Amino acid sequence: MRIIVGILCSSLWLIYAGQVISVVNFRLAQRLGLQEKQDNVDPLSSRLELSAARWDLLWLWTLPSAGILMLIDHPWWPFAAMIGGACYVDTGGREAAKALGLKQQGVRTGSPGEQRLVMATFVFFVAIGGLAIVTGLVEAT
Amino acid sequence: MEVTASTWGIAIAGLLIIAVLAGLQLVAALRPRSSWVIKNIYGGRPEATDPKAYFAFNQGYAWADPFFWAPLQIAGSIGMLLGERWGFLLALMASVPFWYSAILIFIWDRDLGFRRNTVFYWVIVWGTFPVFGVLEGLFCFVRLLE
Repeated sequence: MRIIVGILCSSLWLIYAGQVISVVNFRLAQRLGLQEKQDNVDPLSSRLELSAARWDLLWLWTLPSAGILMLIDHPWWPFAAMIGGACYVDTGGREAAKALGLKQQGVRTGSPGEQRLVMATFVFFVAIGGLAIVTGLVEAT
Repeated sequence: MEVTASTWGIAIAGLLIIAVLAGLQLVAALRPRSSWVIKNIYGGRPEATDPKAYFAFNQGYAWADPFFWAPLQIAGSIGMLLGERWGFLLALMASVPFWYSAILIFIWDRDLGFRRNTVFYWVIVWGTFPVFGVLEGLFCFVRLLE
């Protein structure tokens, strides 16, 4: 179980790499499909996403780092998994609420397909974060 | 686990901070657009920025704080005071949103009109959260390694 969750968590480095691209070159990230296409979003939404990408670089590494600690069976991995898991569960919930709120207020936040992808990402965040928390709790208690 | 004076301090401080925050945010969740909530909980003015973003941002937090974060911190504090290992584990998780959301607010608060360059804002309104979060996280982490 530890190995499987470790691999899943470590794969989140791909999302981190995507956000690095978004921060360095937001237009390129839009062309690559890492961000919603400019034609489908309000300028406000793009500004929020760019801010979110900058913010992501400060915390998004927590759970993938925990994944690496899981894979090498470092004694700190249960605690790292809980810290990283809490970050991902929290951000998944808050960002989903924000995205739904913006949609309800009539802000264009992407095409229907892009919106589904964004919500699926947040659900994935909550799921993988929750899985890491449970795995860490089982090991630590 | 041993319940020291530091354990009492961290657990009670966590309870007090989260009780005030969750209580206020619960009011904001139930009355999202009332003038009292805008003035006393959200801060800033919706017309001074983008009102859509202003309300969407605040509502996300209003729902997350009392229904996700507060139960975690309350359970963690109680567990710590009982000397249970699970209490320190829950408090370790509950410490994350304290510093996590403070950085997020730091990035967005100017755009959303919340920021005030006053000692009260930086020390009480904003600073309490990352300081306590880091303190609680480090404390629980060290205790769990014992």
